[in-house]
Amino acid sequence: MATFGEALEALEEFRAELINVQMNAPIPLAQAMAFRARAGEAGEDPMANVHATGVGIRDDGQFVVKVYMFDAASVQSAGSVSLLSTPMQGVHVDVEHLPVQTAFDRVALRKTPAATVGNPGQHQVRRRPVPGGVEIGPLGGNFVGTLGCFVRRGSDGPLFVLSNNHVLANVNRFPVGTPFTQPFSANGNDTVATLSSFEPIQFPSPGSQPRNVIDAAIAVVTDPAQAATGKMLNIKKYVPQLLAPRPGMTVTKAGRTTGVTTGMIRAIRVRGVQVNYGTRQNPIIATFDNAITIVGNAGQPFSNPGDSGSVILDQASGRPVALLFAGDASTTTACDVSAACARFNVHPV
Amino acid sequence: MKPVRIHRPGEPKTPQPPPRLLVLADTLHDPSVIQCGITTTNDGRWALYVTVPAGIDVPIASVERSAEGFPVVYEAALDEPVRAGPAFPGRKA
Repeated sequence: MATFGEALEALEEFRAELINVQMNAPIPLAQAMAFRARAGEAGEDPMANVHATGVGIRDDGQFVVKVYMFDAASVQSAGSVSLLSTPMQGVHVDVEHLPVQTAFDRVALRKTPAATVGNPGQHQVRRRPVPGGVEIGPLGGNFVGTLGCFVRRGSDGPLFVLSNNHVLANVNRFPVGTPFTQPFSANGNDTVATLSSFEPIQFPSPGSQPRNVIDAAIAVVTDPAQAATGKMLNIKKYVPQLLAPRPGMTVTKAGRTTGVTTGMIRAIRVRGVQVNYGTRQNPIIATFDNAITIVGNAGQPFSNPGDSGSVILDQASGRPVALLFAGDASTTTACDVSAACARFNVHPV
Repeated sequence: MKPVRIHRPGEPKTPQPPPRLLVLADTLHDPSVIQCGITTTNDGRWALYVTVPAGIDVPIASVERSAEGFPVVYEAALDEPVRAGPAFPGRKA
C-alpha cells in the first residue's frame, strides 16, 4: 500500500508525463485543449479533459494519484489511456469527474493577501526607495533580471546590489562601470547602480573542462539613500543574515517575473549541473558544482526567465540561503549565496 | 524500478549531514551518474543524491557500494540542461 510520500513522488512523475503528452499533442488538439481549459468544456480525447491532479486517499487508507476530468464521459473512456489506467511507480491512479469550479467572490479573492503578494507586475515597476526582488536591467539594454538584495563591504563600506553575472555582466561581456536601471529603462534618471565586479563564468574549451561554483556579480549603488536595505518586495520576513541551505527546507523568493513564490530544496552540494547560457538551438554549456536544486510548491514553477538574481530565503527565518540563476518548468537551480558573498567580501544588509 | 522524476526530501533528522556523506558526495564517480549531491529521504535520513538517465534501472549496484550504507536517492536526469538567461521584455517567445 503506497505511503503519502510515495504517492507524492508518483504524482510528480505523473504530472511530468501528463505535460509531456499534452505538449506533444497535435496543434489542433492543443488549441482545442486550451479552448476547453478556458471554457470548461469537455472534448473527445480523455487526455484533453484532465484539468487537475493531486494525491488522494481511498476509504481503505491507501494513497493514490488523483486525476480530475471535466466530464463524466471522459472518466469512462480513461481506461483506454495507459497513463490514466496504469499504476505510476506502483501507486494507483484514480480518475474522477470534477466540473470546473467557480470562485465564490472574485472581488474578495482579489483582496486576499496571497493574490496581492503573488502579483508579478508589482516587481516590474519603478520603486523608490528600491527594495530587493525587483526588476533591473542595463541602461538602454534589451534584457532584464532581478535585483537580488543589497550587500555591503565591511561595516560602513560601499553598498552594492547582488545579482547574477549573466544579469549584471551579461555573461562576462559588460565592462565594469556599466549602468543599471530600475526598472528596465533607457532613461538615465532610473540608474540605480553600476557594475563593480563579477565572477567569470568559465566554458569548456579544447583540453579544458572548467567547473563553476557561482553565477554572481555586484554593482555599486549610485545613491545609497535610494536603497531600501533590509527590505524584500512583498516578503514580510526578510532577515539579511546568511543561513546554510538544507534538503526539505521550504524556501521563498521575490523575483521580477513570477513575483513571490515558494518551493522546497531538493538537494544541496550538487556536482555536475550543466547549465545552458545559449539558446535551445545553439546551446552554450557551463558546468556547475555545489549547486542547490529547488522544486516549486503545488506543481507551480518556482521561477521563470527574468527571476535570475533573486535571493532565495528560508521561509521560516527569512534568511538568505541561495542565489537563483537557472531553471526550467520543473527545476530551479541556485548557487551558494554564502560563496558569492565571500567572493566579493560582502554581506547582506 | 526507474528513478523518480522529482524527489521530495523530508525534514532532516539531524541539522548537519554526516561528514563521511559529504566526502562521498564530493568524490563519487560512476559512469551512470550525471550529477551527485546530498539530500534526505522522504523520512528525513541524510542520503546521497544522484541523477541518472531516466530509462535506467535503479538501484545501481556500484553506486550502492560506493554509498557505504547511506541511502541513495535516484532522480531522473533532465532531458536537456537547465537554462540560465534573462527575460527580454517585448520580445515574443
